[in-house]
Amino acid sequence: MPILEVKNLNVSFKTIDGIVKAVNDVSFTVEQGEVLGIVGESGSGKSQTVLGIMGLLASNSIVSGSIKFLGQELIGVSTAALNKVRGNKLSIIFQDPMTSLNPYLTIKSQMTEVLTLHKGMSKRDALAESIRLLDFVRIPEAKERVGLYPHEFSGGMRQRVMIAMALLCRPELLIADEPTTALDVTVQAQILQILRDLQTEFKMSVVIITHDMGVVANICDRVNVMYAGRLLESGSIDNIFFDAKHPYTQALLNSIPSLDHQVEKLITIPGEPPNLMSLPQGCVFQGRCEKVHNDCCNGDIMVQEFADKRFMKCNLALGQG
Amino acid sequence: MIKFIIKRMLIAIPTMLTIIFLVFLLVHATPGNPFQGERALSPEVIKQLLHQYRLDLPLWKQFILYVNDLLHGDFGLSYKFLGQSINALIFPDYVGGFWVTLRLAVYAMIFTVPLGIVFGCYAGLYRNSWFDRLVVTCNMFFSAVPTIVTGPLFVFILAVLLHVLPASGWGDGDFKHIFLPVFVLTLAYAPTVAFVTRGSIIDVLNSNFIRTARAKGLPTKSIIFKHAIKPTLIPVVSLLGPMFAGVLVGAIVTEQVFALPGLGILTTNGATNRDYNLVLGITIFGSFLTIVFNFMVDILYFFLDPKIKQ
Repeated sequence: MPILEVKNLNVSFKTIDGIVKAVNDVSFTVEQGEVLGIVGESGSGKSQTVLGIMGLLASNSIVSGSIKFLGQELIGVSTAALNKVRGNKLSIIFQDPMTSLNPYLTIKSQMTEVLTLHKGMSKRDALAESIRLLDFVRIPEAKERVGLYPHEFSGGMRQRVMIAMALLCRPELLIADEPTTALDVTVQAQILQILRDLQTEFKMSVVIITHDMGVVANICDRVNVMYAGRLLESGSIDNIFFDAKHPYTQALLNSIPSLDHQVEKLITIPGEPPNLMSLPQGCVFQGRCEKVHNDCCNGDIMVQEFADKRFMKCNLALGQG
Repeated sequence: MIKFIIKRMLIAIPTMLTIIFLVFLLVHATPGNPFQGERALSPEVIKQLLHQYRLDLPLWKQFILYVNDLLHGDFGLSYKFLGQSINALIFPDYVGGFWVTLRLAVYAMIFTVPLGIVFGCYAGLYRNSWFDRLVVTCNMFFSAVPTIVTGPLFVFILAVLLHVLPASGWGDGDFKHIFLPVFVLTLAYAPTVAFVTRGSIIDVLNSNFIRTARAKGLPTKSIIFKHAIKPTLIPVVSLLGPMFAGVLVGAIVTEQVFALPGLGILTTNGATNRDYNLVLGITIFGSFLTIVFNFMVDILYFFLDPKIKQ
């Protein structure tokens, strides 16, 4: 049984200008011990998908579909029921470590509260366990520094604290929402290494959101490619990197600059993503797709499934174009 | 901490001197002198009076002598209440002056602060609910309608029509006399406190670290009382210091409306009678209070914001 099963997830937001459809009919699963990457441009719905899983969407959101975590439905349950899962079996690391920790409380107080709440530990045991995890994410002198406030740590160190905090209860599933975006490149590598080590050590499942294909290649088993709120292609890392089928995935991979080839101009995908308030009929990628034809502009888009849970949403028959 | 306090105190000295200098100049720049009343005095008497009050000296000498007196805690003599010192007027042996205003201000704040904070938090937590709209509307209403309107209005309803409370006066500071002025002051200030608290808690609840707290599965109660309350209170605290000092220097209008013998009435008397020393004394005392309360706010920050501690 998969750890996480998302089925036909829709997330939209009521705004004064109209309804913004941030996530449209997204379905995927995460298996035990699997690392799933979600890639896509800004505004493609990656973050809203995982915020939906965590029950952290803004108050003007409308959610439908089904999210099953360890067999338990998470959509429509009470906050109290959700709170039994969040921070316990299901945790998240956010993209901005500078603002994601409470600046008015010590690291100690922010970490131990998770353990006293979910595990019923005594304050002293919770502190010992917190220090153990800070050691694990390689924070030097964790024992002394656990009493400090967030502003006394650098960005990379704060992200380590966030990771340690997310792992306190040994979650079954860790969601990392662009965990390295706000950090500089050397620190990014360290954080990714820590995430990879932790994943092997704790044998947990990970969903990692990124727009960095390098991160995906580094750490993921499978990849979901999202665009304008839809899941366009999903497959194993080898499938996606060496045999991308969807024109969007191909274009995305093409636009990764390479050191081996001298190019005059960086390759981009021409055009802009569609407005989420007025999505086109048919395929959302039609406006920018090189292989667009009449079928793409109306009706439903075919879901083509292949072996090994691989699928793509495109009308293009394989081998065509 | 001690270094911080000393630094703060040192900064206060030039601020205070500047204020004294400016107010001194302004007051003395008003035309005429205090002894040009409706009853004409003979030139000799006036000369004698001016000499007695040092008003015949050059202005700079008057200033130096005045500051010297201030350093000895002496606000000088009143021109109007002959023979009385300003100290005795501001801090009298009887019930009046600062003692009346102090009680009024303390009672008003006892209601304003908790009501403002609790109402503001509720409004912010249940944003766009009817309660929230009520708080916002009240703030707008009482910001627009001053105590000179609400005061007489409540006097009219409760004293004139219903006869439940006396219309004015301090009495012996009993509940019946003090209720209306305190109520009117609370109505004037509590909505502002509520409005600032509301804005602050809305900001805080939208911040990333509250999202983290929710992601940890914490119950709403501990999110609010452990994670949100301190950052919410910071802007409120910085509002309260000057606000309290403001009420203390004289709820001038409220004291006039209810004929309370506090600092407010002294101020208006001093201004209309060209009682330089009285106006000077009250203004300087008020500035001193403002500086003291801002100083206390800074110390409170110290406990609220760990970033200042370093």
